[in-house]
Amino acid sequence: MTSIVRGPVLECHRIGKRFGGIVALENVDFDLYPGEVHGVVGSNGAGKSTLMKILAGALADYEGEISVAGQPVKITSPQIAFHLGIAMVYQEFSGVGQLSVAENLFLGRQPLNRLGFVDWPLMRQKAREYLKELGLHLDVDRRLDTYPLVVRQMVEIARAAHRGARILIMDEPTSALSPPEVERLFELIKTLKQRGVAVVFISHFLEDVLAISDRVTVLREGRRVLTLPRAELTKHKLVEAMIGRGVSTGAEREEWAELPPRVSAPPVLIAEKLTLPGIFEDVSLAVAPGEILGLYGFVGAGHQEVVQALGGALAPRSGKIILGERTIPLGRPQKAVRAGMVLVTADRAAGLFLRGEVYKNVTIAHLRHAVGNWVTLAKELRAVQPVLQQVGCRPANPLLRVEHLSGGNQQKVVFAKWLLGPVRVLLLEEPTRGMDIAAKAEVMQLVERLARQGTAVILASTEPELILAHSHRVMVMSRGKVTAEWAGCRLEKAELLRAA
Amino acid sequence: MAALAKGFKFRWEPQDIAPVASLLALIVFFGIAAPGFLRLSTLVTALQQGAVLAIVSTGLTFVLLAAEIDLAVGTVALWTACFCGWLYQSWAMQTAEGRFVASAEIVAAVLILPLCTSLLLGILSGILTVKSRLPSFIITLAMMFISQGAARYITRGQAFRVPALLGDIGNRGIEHEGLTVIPYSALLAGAIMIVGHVVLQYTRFGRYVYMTGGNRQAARLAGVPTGLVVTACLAISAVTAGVGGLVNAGRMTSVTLDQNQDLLLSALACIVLGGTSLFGGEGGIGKTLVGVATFTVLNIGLNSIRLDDFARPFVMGVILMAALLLNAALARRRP
Repeated sequence: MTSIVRGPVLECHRIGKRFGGIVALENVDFDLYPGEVHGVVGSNGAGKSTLMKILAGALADYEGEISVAGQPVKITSPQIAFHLGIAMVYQEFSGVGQLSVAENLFLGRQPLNRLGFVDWPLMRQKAREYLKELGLHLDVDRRLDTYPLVVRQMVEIARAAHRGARILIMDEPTSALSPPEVERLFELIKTLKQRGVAVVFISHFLEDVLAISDRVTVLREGRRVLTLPRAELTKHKLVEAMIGRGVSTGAEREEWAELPPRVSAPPVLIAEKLTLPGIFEDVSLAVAPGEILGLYGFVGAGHQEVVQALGGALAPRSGKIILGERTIPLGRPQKAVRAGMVLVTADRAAGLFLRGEVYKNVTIAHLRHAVGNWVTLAKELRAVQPVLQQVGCRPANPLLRVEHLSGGNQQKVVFAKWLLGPVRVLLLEEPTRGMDIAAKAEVMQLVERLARQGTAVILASTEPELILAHSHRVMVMSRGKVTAEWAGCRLEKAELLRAA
Repeated sequence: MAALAKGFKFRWEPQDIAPVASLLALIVFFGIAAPGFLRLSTLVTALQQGAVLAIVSTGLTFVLLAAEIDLAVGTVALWTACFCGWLYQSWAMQTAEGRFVASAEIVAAVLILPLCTSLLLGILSGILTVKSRLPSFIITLAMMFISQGAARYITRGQAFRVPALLGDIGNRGIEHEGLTVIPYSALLAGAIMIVGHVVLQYTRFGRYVYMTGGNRQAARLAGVPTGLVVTACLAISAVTAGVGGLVNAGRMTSVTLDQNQDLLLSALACIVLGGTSLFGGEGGIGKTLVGVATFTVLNIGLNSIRLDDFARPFVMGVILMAALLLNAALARRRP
């Protein structure tokens, strides 16, 4: 494919995909021209990642037609996608850190000499030349992991381009980068554009999308809402297209929220200037008993890490956490739990002994309090039964292994574990991830009940609907910093998204 | 309470049955293959041979349940026995015939001091493992060399006598009509196993051990002091290794550097044969007991069918491999 392609390098026509009965994508048209950066935006569940997975060959059974450089193709495997020149750049798998930059660039295709050994001098020289062409001045002998994330990402992109990729798909490439780093990445993307590479740029960060894209496509609920040239778009217009203003879907409850006035009670938890370089910076917050504080942000905004830090799972470099009268040492979950500040992690496998029985999972945090010094099955069952009933775990069989429960019921086991002891502050990180609507509702009802009983709750989520539906007060984080806070007013979803 | 527990039946899963089935199969096999095998004397031999292994495996089970490993059990056993012998020969009086006699206080000191050093070695391994965040594999590997080196250094390759009390524990027992029926070493091993079982099943610490091994992060987030648990497990393992070393030396009436060489690998084989996971969180002393019994029966059985001495380790290895693969295959077949 050395000839210059005049038409689109990629054309997708009426793409559809269902998972079981749920429509993930329907009738989506998408095209991409050589040398174009095409931004793709949409809320969680809009179908962005499904579309990209289809293009990358990860989902073989899709509906619709795809042609690459005018040739109709069926992308049924990642190998086929690779041969068609489609490459996906994941930020979390950016190369092999232990190897040098040159080795990463030639991963799996090192030049060999006549004896069949790696031709190191040739590889270094070629790597140096190629990176220079792309405007990257790197020491090719240095280990990749001694460079910052942005460089690792750029090497990964250079590798894909060097292997002959004509279509680069970048999923959230800027979410973990600082503004100057974003600039560096954009320089590279512009260089690649000039060489005729087409880029699909998926991001939650609308400013970044608008800064680099030539055209932008908005997806909503599996459908394409609009595709427009950059010149005809504003951030405001994108947000409206993403959330579907004017289109009544019967879900008004989640489009805005009436936040109650700020509670006057003194806070039970105060966090001051928590900082973990590169993750979050200078985060201060306070919650009162009975209050639900919503902490919103995109993936990688740092709000989830803040909640983990409060629970002791992560140790911030600096800052102070005060619960009641006492200062809680940083990074010590044991101390946080003793003081009644407990963390429900997004990754349920991090909070549960999946192979262990339900009762063992429930009693572990409060064995002394609930069971005493002598641990017997009878005493444990007696302690566990009421809380299992309280959280509505089904089946309420404490002898079942947790791995045999559904996601929603596993989460209820996590709640049951904390309910066995005093809970003053409940830290929730994506508490309803991966649950169906009924399970979601049950879990959140439980949270609201706890709040009514006087527990302070911090709800960190990337789902604006969840935040709006359940928070008394809302804070937004973006790139590790708190950017907005609302209480005692009407809060629109669009406003929330704009602050993130 | 019974009403509550009713309806929730424990299910026997294949991986629980397999080790017991292998043990029974081996007993039946040797019962047929070796005519003299099914006798009381075989049982006594088994108890005597299995006792040291059982003592050491009990402590090591704690470590494996916590998803760690202790490679130093064999050499800590050796060090403890050597130190005991060295102290005994230094402090006891030598009679004209060359025998050693010592007061009860000296015997007590000569037994307790070495055990204190093994406890300290275990605590040290634990603290270093937790603080350095290196795998216990590395730390206890170094500890293996340290304890072996220490044993070598104080004995200078010489044999040392150990107190007669250890000889009695190792070689005598409750007698019936002049024959030993239950060796004292087996009684000691039984007591240690019962204590180990009770600690693991009925105390908070025991539950913490299982949970630390089952999911370290979840345990930490639930407020379990996982570092302390790991340290305690390595300390327990070192002490039982020390006791095992003393009993073993008693059986031989003296300690030499060539003792306890196979102890680490045999104990590990026993634990895994019994069905305790190498990855932590699953298993227990009951399983280890079955494993020790299997290992010992295999050893004695191969001996009694008059297999060539030089072929024995090879055959034993092959059978062990088969049993382990069978257990693993059954464990993987879960609903």
